[in-house]
Amino acid sequence: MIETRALTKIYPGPVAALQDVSLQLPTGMFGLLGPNGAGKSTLMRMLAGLLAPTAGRILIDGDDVTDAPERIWPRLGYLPQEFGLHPELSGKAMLRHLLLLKGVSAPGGLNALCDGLLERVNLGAVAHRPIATYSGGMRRRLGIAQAIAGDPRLVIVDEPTAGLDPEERARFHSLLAELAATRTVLLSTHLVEDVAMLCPQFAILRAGRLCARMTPAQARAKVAGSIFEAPATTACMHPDLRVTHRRWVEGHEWHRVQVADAQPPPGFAAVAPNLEDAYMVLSHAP
Amino acid sequence: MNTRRLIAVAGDALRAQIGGVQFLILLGLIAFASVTINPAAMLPTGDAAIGGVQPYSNSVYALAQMFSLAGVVFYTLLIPLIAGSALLRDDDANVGELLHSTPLSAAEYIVGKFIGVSLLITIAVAWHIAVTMFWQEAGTSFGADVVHGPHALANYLLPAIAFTLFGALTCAALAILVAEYARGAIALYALVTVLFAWSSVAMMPAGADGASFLSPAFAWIDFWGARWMTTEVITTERSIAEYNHSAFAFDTAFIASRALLALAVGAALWAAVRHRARRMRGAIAFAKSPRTPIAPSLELRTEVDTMQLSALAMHSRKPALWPCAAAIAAVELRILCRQVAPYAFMLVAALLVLEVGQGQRGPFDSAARLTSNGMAIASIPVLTVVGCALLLVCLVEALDRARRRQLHDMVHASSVPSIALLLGPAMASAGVLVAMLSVAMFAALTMVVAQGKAPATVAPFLWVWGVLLAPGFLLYAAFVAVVFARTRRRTLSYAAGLLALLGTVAAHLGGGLGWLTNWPLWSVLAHSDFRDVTQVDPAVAWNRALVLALALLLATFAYWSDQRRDADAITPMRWPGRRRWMTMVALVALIAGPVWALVTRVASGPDGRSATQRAHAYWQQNVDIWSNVSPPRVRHMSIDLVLEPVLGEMQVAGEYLIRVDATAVRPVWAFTVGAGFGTVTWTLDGQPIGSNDRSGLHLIEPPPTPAAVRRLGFRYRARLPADDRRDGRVGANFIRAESVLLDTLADDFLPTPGFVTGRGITQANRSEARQLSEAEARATPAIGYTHPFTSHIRIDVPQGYIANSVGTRTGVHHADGRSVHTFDNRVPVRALNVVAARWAERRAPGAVIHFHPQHAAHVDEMLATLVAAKRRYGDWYAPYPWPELRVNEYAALITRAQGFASNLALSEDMGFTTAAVAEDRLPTIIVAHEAAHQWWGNLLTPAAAPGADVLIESMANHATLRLLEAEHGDEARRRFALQLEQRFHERRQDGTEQPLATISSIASSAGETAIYDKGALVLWMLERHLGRDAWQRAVHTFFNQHRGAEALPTLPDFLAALCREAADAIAFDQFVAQWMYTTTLPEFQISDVRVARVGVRWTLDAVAANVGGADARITLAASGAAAAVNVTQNVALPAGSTRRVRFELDYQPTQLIVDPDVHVLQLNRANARWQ
Repeated sequence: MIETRALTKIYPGPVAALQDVSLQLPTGMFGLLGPNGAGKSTLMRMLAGLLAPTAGRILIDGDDVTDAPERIWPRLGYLPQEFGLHPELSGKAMLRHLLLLKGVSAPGGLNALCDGLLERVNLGAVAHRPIATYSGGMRRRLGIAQAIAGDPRLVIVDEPTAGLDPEERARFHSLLAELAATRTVLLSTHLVEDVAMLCPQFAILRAGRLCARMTPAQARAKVAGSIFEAPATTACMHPDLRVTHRRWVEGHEWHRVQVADAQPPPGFAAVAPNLEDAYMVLSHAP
Repeated sequence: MNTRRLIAVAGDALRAQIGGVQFLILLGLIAFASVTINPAAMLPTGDAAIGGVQPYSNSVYALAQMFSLAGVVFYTLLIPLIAGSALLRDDDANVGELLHSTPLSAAEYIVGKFIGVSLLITIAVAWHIAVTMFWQEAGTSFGADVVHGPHALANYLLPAIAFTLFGALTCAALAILVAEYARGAIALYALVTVLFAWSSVAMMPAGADGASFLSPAFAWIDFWGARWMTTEVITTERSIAEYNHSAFAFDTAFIASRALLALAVGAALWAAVRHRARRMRGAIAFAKSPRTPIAPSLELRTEVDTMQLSALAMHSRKPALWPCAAAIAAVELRILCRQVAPYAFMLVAALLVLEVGQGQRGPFDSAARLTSNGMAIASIPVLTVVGCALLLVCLVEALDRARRRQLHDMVHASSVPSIALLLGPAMASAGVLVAMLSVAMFAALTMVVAQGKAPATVAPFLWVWGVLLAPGFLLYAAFVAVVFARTRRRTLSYAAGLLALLGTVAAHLGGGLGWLTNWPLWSVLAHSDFRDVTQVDPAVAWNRALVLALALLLATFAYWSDQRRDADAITPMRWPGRRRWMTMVALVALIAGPVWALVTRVASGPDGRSATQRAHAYWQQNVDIWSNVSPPRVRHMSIDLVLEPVLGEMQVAGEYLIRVDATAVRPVWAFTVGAGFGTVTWTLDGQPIGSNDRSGLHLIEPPPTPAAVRRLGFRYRARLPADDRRDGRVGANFIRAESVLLDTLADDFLPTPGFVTGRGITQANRSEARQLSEAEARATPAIGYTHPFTSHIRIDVPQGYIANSVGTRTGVHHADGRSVHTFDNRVPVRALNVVAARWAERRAPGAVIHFHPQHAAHVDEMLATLVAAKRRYGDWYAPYPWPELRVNEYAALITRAQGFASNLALSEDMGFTTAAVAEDRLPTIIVAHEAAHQWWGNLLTPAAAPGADVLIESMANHATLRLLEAEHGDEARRRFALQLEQRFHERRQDGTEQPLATISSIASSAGETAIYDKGALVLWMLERHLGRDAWQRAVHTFFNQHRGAEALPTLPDFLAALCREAADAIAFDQFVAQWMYTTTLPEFQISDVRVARVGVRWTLDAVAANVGGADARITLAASGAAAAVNVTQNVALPAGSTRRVRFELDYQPTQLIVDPDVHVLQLNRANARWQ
C-alpha cells in the first residue's frame, strides 16, 4: 500500500502545484488523470523521491519515506514523462548500464536479462544499434524496459504510451497488467481509454487538488443518463452546453454533451456514458 | 544577401547575448582589471632607483600591454563562448529547420550572427576603453606609485583596436566555425582552453628567446599582440623616456600577422557558411542526434506476444558503490573518447611539454641537459594548468550530462549510491587525465632520448606527476564538483574553475603562493641529480597532506550538496545532523594538522614574523650607530665545524684573532649573528664573556689589556635553512643531504664582523646607498669582510661526504663513521666558503674537480681549463699562492657559480650538465671566469667605489676571452665575444644604462649585462688600444702596487696604471672617456656597394658609415667565395661619419664585413655587412 497524506507542494511565487493530496494506492493498477498543469508530474516526482514536498507524508507499506527517499528507490520502477538516453550507446549497453545502477540481476546474468527485457519491449532486433538511430517510440520502449526491470514494489509510469503505435501500446498494457498483479502501478496519462482498460481505480487531479477518486464504473454511473450525442457543428452549439466530447465521423462533426436535470437540446439522443464523459464532467465540476 | 534579414539575424544575436551572464561577467572582469591593474607595472622599469624616472601608466606602451594581457586572460575565456552560443542557442531550441524554411540564406545567417557578436565585442571594447580611461585620467586608485602622463585618446584606441578588437573578432569567428561544425558546448570549451593555453604560452618571456620551434607560429598566430609586445616591445631596449613619449609603430611582421588573422576570420566564416548551406540542403541533419530509420525487417514484430516478465526471474538488491561508479565511469569514458576535446588537450599538453624541453636553458642561454627528472619537474606548471583545464571540461560535462540528456530522473530514482554519481564522472575524467599525462610523458621522454645526454626513465614521471601532483588534481576536481553540485550550472562551474586557475596563476606571478596556498606545487621542487626524485622535503609532504585533506573536505561538501532530490524552496533549511557535524570536525582536524605544521615551519623560518621583526629591529636599533663604525679587525679565524647534512644542522666552535685598535679608548666589538643561530656563547682569551644582543648584533666590550691581539671564541648550533621559506625557495647558504654550501658573504654561517647593511631592509625602509667618501671607499672592500684574514678550518662530516674549504688541505681523518677535513689558509682573503657533498674526484697537477659521479662528461674540459687558468693567469697577473685550485659541484637548489679563494663552487647546471654544442666551450668559459676571481676579487679586492665590478666581473670575463684565445685559438675567443655582445644587445636598457665607471650595483639585469658583457669587451678593446705588452706591464704593476695594501684600489687607479703605459696618453684618455664614462656605442652600416671587374682583377667600392654615437676604428674585410681569401682595411670612423672605401682584389668579392674578428663592441652587427 502506497499512501500520501495531505501532500502539498508550493513553489516560490507562491504557486501551489499540489495541495493537500491524500491518496491510498493499493496493489494493482491505479490511474491518475488530469489536465495539463494539474500536478500529476509533481505528484509522480514526489512519489519517486525526486522532489521534496512542502508538507505532507508519503508512506510505503506504512513506512514513512518522506524524508528518506533512498528507501523508496530500491523499491521503485520509474518511467518519467520526458527522458533521454546516451545516443552514443547501443540499446543493450544503455539498458545494461541502467540495470547495473538499479542493482537488477537475474540467474542467467545481466546480458541475458537485457536480451530478455529487450525482447519484451520488441527491441531485440535493434539491441546493438546506437540509440542515436532509434525513433521516439523505440526510445520510449527502452525506457519502459528499464522501468519494469527488477522487482519493484511501486512502478510509476508517466505518459508511458505517448508515441507508441497500437501494437506497442497493447504489448505495454499486458506488461503493466502482469506487473500490477503483485505490486502497485501508478499510471499517469492523458489517455482516458488507457485508464478505462487497465485501472480498477483512478483519481483525477485538477489545479493541484484531488477532485475525484473512484473506479471507472463508479465514474460512469455518476454521469449515467445525462450524456447525449448528436451530429452538430460547433457553430450551432449553445455556449452554455457542457461538451464532454467532440469527434468527426466521415466528415461530420459530432458532439456529446452532458445535460443534468433538464431536457437535452433538440436532436440529441441519450447515450451510455463512457469514462471520458465522466472524466470531463468530474474534472470540470465546480 | 538581403540587408534586412542580415540586420534581423544580427539584432537577434545581439539581443540574446547582451543581457547574458557571460557578457555581464566579461564586462565585470574588464572593469575589475581596469581599476586594479597598474598598466605601467608590466613594463620594464629599468630605473629602480628611488626618485628615478618612472613609466607613465597611460602611455601607449603601458596601455598596449594592459589591453593585450586583458585579451589573453579575459576575452579569450569568454568571447568564444559568447560567439558560439549565438549558434548553439538556435540548435538547442531546434529552430534550425524552421528558420531555414524561410528565405534566410546560410550566408545571411552566419554573417548576421557574426555581425551581432561583433557589435557585442565592440560594446565590450568600448566599455574597456571607457573604464580604463576614467581610472587612468581621473582615478587615483593606484596610489602614489603611479605616474600619469599627458592624456591622449589615441593611446587607448590604438592598442584596443589593434590588439583587443582584432583578437576578439578572430576568436569569435573561430568559435562560430567550431559551433557550426561541432554543435556542442564542449567543443567551444575545448576551443577556449586551446586559445587560452596558446596565448598564455605565447606571451611568456621564456618563449621570447626565439629558440623555440613554436616561436614562428606564436608570432604569426598572435591573437592579442602579446607575443609581439613581449619580443618587439618589452624585451627590446627602450628607455623609460621612450616608453613615455614615443609613438607606437607596428612593424611589417605585426601588420602581416593582423592580415593573417583577418584572412582567418574570412576563412572561418566562409567555411561556416558552406557547412550551414550543406545542412540546409539536407546533406547534414539539423538535429544533433540524427535518426536513421530502422529497416522494416528489424522494426517490429506486429503480433503481441505473451512472454511473461516473471519468466526472467529478475530480482533487485542495493548495488555496490564501486561497480556502479565503474559503470558510470565506463560509459562516460566511452562518450568522452568520441569527443574532440580530450584529444585537443593531449595535443596541447604534448606541445607544451616539448616547449618546456626546448626552454630548458643553461648559462649564456645554452641548451641544458634534459633528464627525466628535470623534465618531470619543469613541466609541472604547464601540465597542472592544462590538466586542470581538462579536468574542468571533462568533469563538468560528465556531471551535467545526465541532466542535459534528461537521463537524471531515471538514474536518480534508481538505487545507485549517491556517491557513485560523483565518483563515476570523476573516475572517467581522471582516466582522460591519465591518458593526457601519458601522452605528455611520451613527448618528454622523446625529448630526453633525442638529446641523448641522460637515460630516459619513467619513474620520475610516475612519482612527480602521478604521486606529487595527484593531490592538486584531486583538490581541483573536488572544487569543480562542489561548485557544480551547489549551482547545477555549467557556466558557473566553468567560470569558477577558470577563475580559480587564473587566480592561482596571478598569485604565483605576484609571489603570493606560499606553502598553504601552493596547491599545484609550482616552483618549489628543484631538480638535482644529487637527490633522489622520491626524496620529499617535509614542507612538500605537509603541503600534499593539506591539499589531500582539503580535497577530501570539498569532495564531502560536493557529496552533501549533490542532492538527487530537488529540495523544497519553501521549507526552511535544516541544520546539519550530528553525523555531518562530526564528519566536519574530523575533516577540519585533518586539515588543521598540516596547516599547523606548515605555519609553524614558516613562522620559525626566515620569512616568519618573528624573524622579520627581529631583522627589522636589528636595522632599527643599530643602523644609526653601527652602520658607519669600522668592524673589528679579524686577522685570523679558526673554525671547528661539525656538519649534519641529513638534519640540516651545524655545530660551530670558533675563534677570531682580533687586532686591538690601540687608538680606541674603550673598544666595543660588534658581530652580527645569523638568524638561525641558537644561543651563542662567547669567550675572550679563553674566559667566558657576555655580550649585549641588540636583535642580532652582539656587542662585546673587551676589558682593557696591553695585548695587541685578542682571541674571541664563540660556539653555537644552527639549522640552515632555519626552517622553510614561505615560497619554498632555498637561501644562499644551505645544509642539505644532497650538498652543503656555506660562505661568509651571507651572514648565516659565521658571526660577521660589524653591521650587515642589507639585513632588515624592506620596501618600507629601503633607501639609496650612501655615497662613500674616497677615504671611506678605500677602506671598504667591494666584496667580503672589511679586513682580510687567514684561516684554519676543521670540517667534520659524515663519512662518504667530502668537504672543501679555502686554503690548503692539511689533513683528512676517518673515524667512527665520520670524516674530518682540515684546511689552512695563510694568504689573507676577505671571504671563505665550505662546500660538501658525496663526490667523485678527478685530479691534475695542482687542480682537482669534485663532481657528481654521473656528471663526468665535461670534467676533463673543466680540469684542463683549471690547469691552464692557474698557469696563464699566474703569468698575466701574479703567481697563484695556493698549491691547489679546486672546483666543487653542488646541487642546483640555486643556480650560481662562485670563485672563492682556491675553492670554486659551481651548481650542477653551471657547466656540469650543459648540453651546449662543444664549440661554445661553456664549461671552459665558466671555469675560466671563476678561476679569474682568484686574482680579481680574492687576491686583489677593489674598493667599494663606482666601477668596482669592472675590476671583478669585467676583468674575469676579459681573462676568459684571453684564455680562450690562448688555449683554443682566436675563433673560440671570437665566438665568446659575439655571445657577450649579443647578450648585451638583448639586455641593455638604453636611457637608464650607466657608464661602466659609475656603476655601483649589478643587481639589475641592465647593470649586470653592462658589467659582465660590455665591460669585458671594453677591456678587450682597451688592451688592443694599449697593446698587449703595455697592458701586461700595467696589470703587473697594478697588482704589485695594490695587492695587500691598506687602501683598496679603484677603477681610476687601474686606468691610471694603464695610462702610464700608453704610448699616446691623450688618445688613451679619449678612449677611456668614451668607453668608460659614456654609454654611447658605435653602429656601422655598409651601403652603396659596387663591384666591378677590371681586367683580371676586381674592385669593390662601398660607403661605410658609423650611425652610432661613439667613435671607433674598425677593420673592413672583403672576402671571396673561398674562405681563405680576405683583404682588410683599417678605417677610423668617428660617430656620425661616413667613409668611402675601395678594395682592389684578385678575386670576386662576395661579402664586405665590418670588424670580422669581433674586436669592437657595436650595435646591430648584423647590419654591418654586405653580402
